[in-house]
Amino acid sequence: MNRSATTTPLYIARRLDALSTALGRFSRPLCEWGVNASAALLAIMLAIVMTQIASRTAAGLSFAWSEELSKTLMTWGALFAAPNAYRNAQQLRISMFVDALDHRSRRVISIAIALLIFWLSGALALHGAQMAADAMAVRASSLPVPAGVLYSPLPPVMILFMLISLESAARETAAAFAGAPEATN
Amino acid sequence: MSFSFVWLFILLLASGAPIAFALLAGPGLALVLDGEGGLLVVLASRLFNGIDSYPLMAVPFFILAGEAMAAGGVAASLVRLAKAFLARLRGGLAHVNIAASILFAGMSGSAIADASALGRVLTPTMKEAGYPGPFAAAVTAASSVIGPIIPPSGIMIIYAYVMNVSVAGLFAAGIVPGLLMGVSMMAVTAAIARRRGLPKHPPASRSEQWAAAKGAGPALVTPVILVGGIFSGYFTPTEAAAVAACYALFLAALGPTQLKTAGVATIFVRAAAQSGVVLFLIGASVAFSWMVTVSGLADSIADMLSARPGNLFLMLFALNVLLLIVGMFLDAGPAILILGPALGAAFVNLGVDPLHFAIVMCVNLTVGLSTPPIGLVLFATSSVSGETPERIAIEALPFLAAHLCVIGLITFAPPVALAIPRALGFA
Repeated sequence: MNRSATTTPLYIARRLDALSTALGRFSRPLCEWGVNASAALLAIMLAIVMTQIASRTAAGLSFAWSEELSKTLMTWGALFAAPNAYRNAQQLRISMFVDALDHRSRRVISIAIALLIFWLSGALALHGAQMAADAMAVRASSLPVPAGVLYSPLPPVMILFMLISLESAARETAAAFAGAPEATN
Repeated sequence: MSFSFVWLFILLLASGAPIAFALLAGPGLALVLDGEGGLLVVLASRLFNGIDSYPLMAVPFFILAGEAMAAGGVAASLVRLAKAFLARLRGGLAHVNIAASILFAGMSGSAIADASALGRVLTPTMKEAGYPGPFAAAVTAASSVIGPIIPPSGIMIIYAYVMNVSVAGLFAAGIVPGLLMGVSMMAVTAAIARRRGLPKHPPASRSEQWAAAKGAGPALVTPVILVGGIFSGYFTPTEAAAVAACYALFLAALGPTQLKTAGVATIFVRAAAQSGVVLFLIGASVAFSWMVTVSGLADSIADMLSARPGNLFLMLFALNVLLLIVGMFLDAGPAILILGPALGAAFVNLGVDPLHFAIVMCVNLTVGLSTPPIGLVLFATSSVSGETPERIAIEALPFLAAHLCVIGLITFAPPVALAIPRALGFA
């Protein structure tokens, strides 16, 4: 392959598009798995709370662990489902100002935002891992596990956000190089 | 620590970044620029711990209940009930729409759920009966904002969590304003119906009314369980939400729709996906409000307002204007999470009852859901009805005026909203 062929905008666009597709192959099933896992956790949470009500009403029994377990499941469920919302552009945003811009400016902004989310998710993954590691020495208040285990989903979820944002940045940049009017999710 | 995170947040918000990431990236970037990058670990911790709350569990349970009710045909049974009693009035189906919203509000707690579920049933029916399409959609949009005012209410749970006020007290404070909004909308509808000569429908017979009441009976038990359980102290709001979700799933499985396992699984997946959006946003907002506190911004705003107290009447008026404008651009949940801590502290310092401030804020921001340019309810109604948001917004103006009158009443006559919480010992 000659030098000019590897530096033409179309070539770069194709390489970035391939990168975006490859990342999408990882992120899409992970996101779908995340929502399904979150749905299962929601069902378990519901079962725990209903069991708590039933046992309190029928036998005057209250389980100390039920509150901590159910709210941990909710937090995990929220984290597992969040990347799918980002990937499918379902998170709330104000688009009226950017919609007023021309498509080039919109694309530049969208790439910048994707890269910012990539950096932020990386930082939160790193600090989340540190937080989980630090909490491994502490016991959860009512569950028989170290508190660090409760924090453990944060780093992988943030890494998934990194993948999705990189996928989005690559797709938008590829579209910019190819001269396409607008890339879509 | 500087206030640069606020400008970065506004810049990101205006750039179309997802609000949850704007809430995290504004403070994150500001910490790095201020040379305090090590504090990013606190941001991560606040994000996680912001979601990790037992009272917040009511949010996914209410979303689940709303999804189950929408799938289980609850909306249709409520519409049949309202129709049996109100369709004989001039503009009867518009009255039916409002009454069904009031009934649905006692179960779902979400304006979007109300607009989607009732809009899908009522807007086509109204159009077929000769009502102008944009008017039919406008009634749906304007009445759906009653959803988060009458208990249960998703945004009130969020408010109570952030501002540490009683959820049950806030629920009690929402009853009169929600009913007033419904009544004022019916008065506006009656005037419009007379002026435009909207159709009347033949009155339903006693047996039809009884059949409609019997059909809607199981659904109408939901608010009794919720409100009765919470106010009697038998359930916490979280437990009441779980009971409501179970009951709604039971109705969906055994009611006319007879949902099978796959249908129930779909309800859980949809509820989990929606909850993920809301809860992640709440976690991000808690991280942002940590920054608001440690940077001293909350104190600065409170000091500024306390230093120039002026006329409380004028300050409350300015608060209403500010919240309505914010409500036009931001969804109620994030607006409460961002503004609640700073404004709430300031107004409570000025002598405003915490529950009074809470209900004023919740009603203002909820009404903002049906106002252009961002009003989520307008877009939800538009997608259900096929009418453009602009035409719906224009037709909704008289109803918006009615809502503003109610806001004025609850702002300047606190006993209107606080009578029930006081009677129940919450205020």
